[in-house]
Amino acid sequence: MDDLTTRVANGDRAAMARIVTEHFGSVYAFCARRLGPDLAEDAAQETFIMAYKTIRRYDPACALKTWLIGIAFNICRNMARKKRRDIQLDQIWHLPGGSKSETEIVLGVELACGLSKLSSTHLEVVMLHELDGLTYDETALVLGIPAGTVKSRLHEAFRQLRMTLGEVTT
Amino acid sequence: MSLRDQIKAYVDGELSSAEMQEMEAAMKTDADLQAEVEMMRFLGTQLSSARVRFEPKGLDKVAGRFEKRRRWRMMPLAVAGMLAVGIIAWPMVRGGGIAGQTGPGFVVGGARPEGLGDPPAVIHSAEAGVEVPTTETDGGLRPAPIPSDLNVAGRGSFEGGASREKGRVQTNSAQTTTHWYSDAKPTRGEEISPASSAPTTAEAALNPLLIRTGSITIRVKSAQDAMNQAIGIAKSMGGYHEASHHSAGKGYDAQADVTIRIPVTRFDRALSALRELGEVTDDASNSQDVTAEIADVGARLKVMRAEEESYVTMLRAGRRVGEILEIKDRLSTVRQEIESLTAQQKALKNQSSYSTISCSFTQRPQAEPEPEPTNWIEDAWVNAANGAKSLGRAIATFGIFALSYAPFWLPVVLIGWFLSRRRAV
Repeated sequence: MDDLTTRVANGDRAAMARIVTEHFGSVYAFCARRLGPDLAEDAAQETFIMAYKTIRRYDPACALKTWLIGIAFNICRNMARKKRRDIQLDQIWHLPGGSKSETEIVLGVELACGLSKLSSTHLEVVMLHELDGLTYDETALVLGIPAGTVKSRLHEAFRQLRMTLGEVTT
Repeated sequence: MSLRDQIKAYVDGELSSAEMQEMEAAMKTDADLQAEVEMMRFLGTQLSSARVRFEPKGLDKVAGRFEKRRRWRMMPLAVAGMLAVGIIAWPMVRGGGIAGQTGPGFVVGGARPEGLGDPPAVIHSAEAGVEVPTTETDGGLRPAPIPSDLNVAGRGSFEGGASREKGRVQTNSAQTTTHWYSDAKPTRGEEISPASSAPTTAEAALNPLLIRTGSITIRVKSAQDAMNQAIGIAKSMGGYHEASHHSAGKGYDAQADVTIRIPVTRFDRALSALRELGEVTDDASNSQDVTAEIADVGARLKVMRAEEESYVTMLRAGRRVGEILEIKDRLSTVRQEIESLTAQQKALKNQSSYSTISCSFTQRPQAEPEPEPTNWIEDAWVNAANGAKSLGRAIATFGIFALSYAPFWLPVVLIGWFLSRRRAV
């Protein structure tokens, strides 16, 4: 346990405020992708409150960000179930538009189609790795699965995306 | 796990150094593997670059929950600071502002300090994405009334051209995207009038576009020669031969067919030249005015191109997958139609610039050669020799047959001969 988390564990609220300031952006973005911006603030707040309460269980072997995302993952899952909220792909990825070329737009459509065809388990791995920037080991830790499974799921997800490229245009 | 299953992990740098080296070595010899790696890298980049970036909201609120006690501790300091600022600022406000300040300054209690100039005239008033035109009245600029025919809600198009001239009216790109759901086709105002692109009636009357076709059947001495001559005529008149067929036969059976394309202006001259080749047995020609048809195709093409352009604009502004896919479907339909119309236009132009003449050449029947007088002695000798030859051939044939069937008849003859001999004995 590093100095900051030790201080939080000892009841230093200012240290917790520093952790919030450092990690709020990534936790908020994580929640916004899964619940939408309207619920993201509540989910992020709940994540940090939960983290403050359970900081003694934090294992310094893993990065603090990963641990926070692990908490946010569970909170988002519960909130999504309660609010019956599904992941909205167009809230996660920008479809190319504006001044981009037609080819880029079509590519964006193809990617969006490919992503929409992915199963929720594959999509979750893609989001954690590609968007939240977690490594295979960190993704495995958040999802509670072996790193090898993360590797194979990512490979399968990208293989499916690769297959989808071209299907839309033909 | 095969190397191909490791591509994603390689791209993400999640392989061990030995596996990385193995992959790199394989990539040097396997171009497909290298292409797959590039594709994986490209997909990853696309996914990362296209992600929505969220502006975090509520950081102060959440951080504040943990800083609450500290903030209350800081409250007296904050109050003291505010008081100090107030005391310093008060004389300046009373004195008419900070030296050199020309714009509206720090206003307390909503009262406007004396000495400050009039507020700058509002020249533009942006409302609902529309830049409102201004008129000059009473020495100042006031917003002009919005023209009644302007759809402020914004569909990105105008039903009438007058409002466009009245003022500087603009709509932003987001508004132009909204009208495609109600009616994806361009509004009438955006359509290109067929009259503008097509030849005018006067032009058409002066220079009509005609498809001219002719067919001619000619009896000639030599079908082959006539066909070559017809091809020569086509070339000499700036045309070309499209197809030809020659069937060699004896006498009148020989026939040649040739299709030649001649510039339409030389159609009549070409027909006259062909008629000179022999005796014309059949002659027909036909003209079809396609001026209107070409004009119509051209106009439709322009309209379709304008429609294509508007779909491309919509595609660029589209946000939802369903919306973009629908536009893309429509765009490909329009493009297919454009290709079809372009081909049709090209064919019509080709047909109207080159006339087609189908020539059929039949050969005149040739006179039968008269039989030459013959010598009877020679005939008798030839007949006798032929007869002797036939007889010899018949005897030889019989001998061969007799020899071939000897196993059947020879034992019978021998037995008969033996029995007759014994009886005699």
